[in-house]
Amino acid sequence: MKNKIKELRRLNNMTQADLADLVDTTRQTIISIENGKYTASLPLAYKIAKVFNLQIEDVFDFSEVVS
Amino acid sequence: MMVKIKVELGKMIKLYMLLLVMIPCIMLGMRIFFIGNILPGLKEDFISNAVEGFFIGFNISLMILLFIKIMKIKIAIKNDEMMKKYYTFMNDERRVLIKTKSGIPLNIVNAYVIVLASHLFQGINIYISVTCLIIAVLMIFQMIILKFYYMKTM
Repeated sequence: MKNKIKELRRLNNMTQADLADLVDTTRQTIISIENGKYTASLPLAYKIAKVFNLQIEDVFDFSEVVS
Repeated sequence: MMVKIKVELGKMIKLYMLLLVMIPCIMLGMRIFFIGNILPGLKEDFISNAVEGFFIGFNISLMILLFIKIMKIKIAIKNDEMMKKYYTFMNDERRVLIKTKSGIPLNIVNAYVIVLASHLFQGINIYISVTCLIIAVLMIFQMIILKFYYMKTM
């Protein structure tokens, strides 16, 4: 699943480790989500969106899933 | 939050301690009730000795692994930051999913039961015993290979 985590992270001057700490997960998980290898669960997606003060659909691209 | 993590890690230590005590009990129980003698003696053929050696080595290595795990948790509990990191690592959803998909929790129990069966069959038919051992080893290899595969693809 495509997402904007990398761009949002850079916009907020945040490292993968920082984001991982904020959402209680590991850096490896953030890397996998950014690369589109792993789809985050709903609670994790919500936590990530909350860090950037956005809605889940603003961070994750659901167009592939919905169509 | 920290108190909750501490309680959960404490529960994990208790569970690992219980397993650490159970393994030698199972080893002794099997020897007393099914094999008849407590101390393993040298047998005539190589295969019987190999099966016996594998069983003892497997159990001792399991005990060492459990001991290391307990020590890791005990060290992590002393420092709040380390404790949170350890807890986050243990409950990381990707890691949990990889473990589940590669069948680690269930297959470890299955492999252990098959090793026990192999030890039981030692006195009845050595070929069945060796077959059980090979199955257990292959199950462990399968788990490891699947884990690495999912780690690369997920």
